[in-house]
Amino acid sequence: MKELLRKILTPKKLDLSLDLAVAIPRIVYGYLLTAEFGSPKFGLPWSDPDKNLGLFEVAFWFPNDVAEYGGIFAMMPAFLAWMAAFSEGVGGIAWILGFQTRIFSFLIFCTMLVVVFVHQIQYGYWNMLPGMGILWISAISMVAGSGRFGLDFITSKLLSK
Amino acid sequence: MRLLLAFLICLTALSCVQKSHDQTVTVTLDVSEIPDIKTVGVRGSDKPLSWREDFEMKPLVKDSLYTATFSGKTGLLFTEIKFVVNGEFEFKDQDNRRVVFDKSKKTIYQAKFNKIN
Repeated sequence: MKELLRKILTPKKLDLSLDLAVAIPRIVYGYLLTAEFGSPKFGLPWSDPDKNLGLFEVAFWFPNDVAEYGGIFAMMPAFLAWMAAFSEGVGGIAWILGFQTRIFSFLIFCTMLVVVFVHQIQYGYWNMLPGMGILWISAISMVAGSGRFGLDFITSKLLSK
Repeated sequence: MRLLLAFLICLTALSCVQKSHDQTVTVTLDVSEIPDIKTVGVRGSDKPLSWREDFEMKPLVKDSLYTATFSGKTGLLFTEIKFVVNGEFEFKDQDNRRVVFDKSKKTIYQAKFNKIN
């Protein structure tokens, strides 16, 4: 178990320029995810008080929107809405910190798959682009991990001692 | 890993969906100062209202006083609206009206077109 945890945690060894290339978009989009996309629908300390959201509560309207996608989304809309909002709101912070980067990248990847191919596809390719951008960053972060600019780098060093 | 899973399960168990309740809002609009009234409507940020099309208001007193009632489930403490007469918005490039919900779940809001209450 510890070995698996270490594998998930340990970033790929890349040179400095590649580490920067992985970290900069991850940190920028991490900020946007938590501040702009996550906080209006997920209760975080920086959510707008006008939204009347309790801590870690998903907005009342979001499960209804998720249920409208049909299929598995209609079967467990509250759980899937919560997970999507959590992956944006909390995953965004994790991306900024480089904390459990692969796990949160996986959650964000799943969320963005739905955003792009279930929600935005009806509005055309142009509207799919922002979600796709985050999708690619999450895919790269799943493979590379945090790089040296993240807590995972420090934690994996400590674990390997 | 176990810690993270436990943390996620705890978060899911402790928190969930924002509480919501039915809210009915009745708006009344005084348009007595506007000549030649053709259509009167209200637009807003929460369903069943939208910013794209009028929610029709019916005359209480023709060419003077119009009303509409709408309801829906909400978790918010207020909603934002603007009135539209003959297709023209009030308060152009200004903040929306903020209708604060009454705790009785039935809110009555009276206004005069383009005038702050």
